[in-house]
Amino acid sequence: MASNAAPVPPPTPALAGGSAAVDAARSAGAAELAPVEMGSATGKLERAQALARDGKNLEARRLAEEAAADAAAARAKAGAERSRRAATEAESGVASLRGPAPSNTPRP
Amino acid sequence: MPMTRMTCRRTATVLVALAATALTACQTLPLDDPELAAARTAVAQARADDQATGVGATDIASAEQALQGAEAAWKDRDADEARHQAYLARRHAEAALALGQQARFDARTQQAAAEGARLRQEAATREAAARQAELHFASDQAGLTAQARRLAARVAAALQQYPERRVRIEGHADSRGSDAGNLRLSQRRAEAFRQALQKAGVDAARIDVQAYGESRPTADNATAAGRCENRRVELLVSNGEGRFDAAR
Repeated sequence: MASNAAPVPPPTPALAGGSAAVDAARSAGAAELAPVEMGSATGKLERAQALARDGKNLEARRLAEEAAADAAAARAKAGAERSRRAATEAESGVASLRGPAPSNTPRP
Repeated sequence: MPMTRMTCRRTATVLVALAATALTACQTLPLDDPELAAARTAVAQARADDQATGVGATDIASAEQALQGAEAAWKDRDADEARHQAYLARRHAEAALALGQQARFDARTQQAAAEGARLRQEAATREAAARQAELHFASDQAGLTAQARRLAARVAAALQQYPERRVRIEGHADSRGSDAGNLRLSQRRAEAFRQALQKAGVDAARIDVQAYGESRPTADNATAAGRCENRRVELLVSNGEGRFDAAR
């Protein structure tokens, strides 16, 4: 499509950024806690790497950038999910403390 | 140059016709694009979220930059780049919103932890109070009141439910009379309650008795009310390990 425009440079920085973002999301447990976004990120990163090998630099850069954005969303959603679970657990702990307290010991 | 203007107008007409018949084709641009519209919505939502704008500031900045890029590309009729930038904008807005949610959940966790600590402290205080009871006596007397006998029955019932717990009965006296006399009096008071417990079915082996005489007043012996407070037995129920430490 851009045959007579300036040649698109190799998307090396975008690929590196996408790869780093995917790694960070994986370390944050996103594969388990935000599987949809994480699947999108890894799939796009792989396609970006393949496109870059074929010299399709513009498409490769875009996919790598989208992979990084997917990974950022995955990482944030994983954090939110982990915090949601922690909040639920803490609140159910409080609820059980509030429950009927055993008062079998005598009072004057 | 009337000829040129004519040509231009004709081209424009053809373009409008193409747009009307082929809205989904990339070559012609519809008035708006779903991806761009979704990005605008997501960015506006993130911007309106007070938590997201704080903890998600970096992602909001990325989202806004990408959205500007998308709008510019759309104006330049580069639909692929517009959709690409719009996608980035939407994802970063989602990330900012998730970070905001996370901050809210974390605040709830902290609040619950503080509430839990408060409730546990209250429960410990309540239990300590519940494991300690006081009974009062008439001056120079060791006879149990009706209230004391009822309490003995309740304690015996509770001890049947909790066979691992023990009781300690501590006898006290006010300061009138001699030390030796008061020690004996406090011993008789404690023994009176011990007998009531045994009568109600508590094994003697689970009961400790301790007499303190007038040595441990809880109130002022100079007043009648204070002396009444001091003529007492204190009843302590052990914890599950047979210890009395938490009651004191």
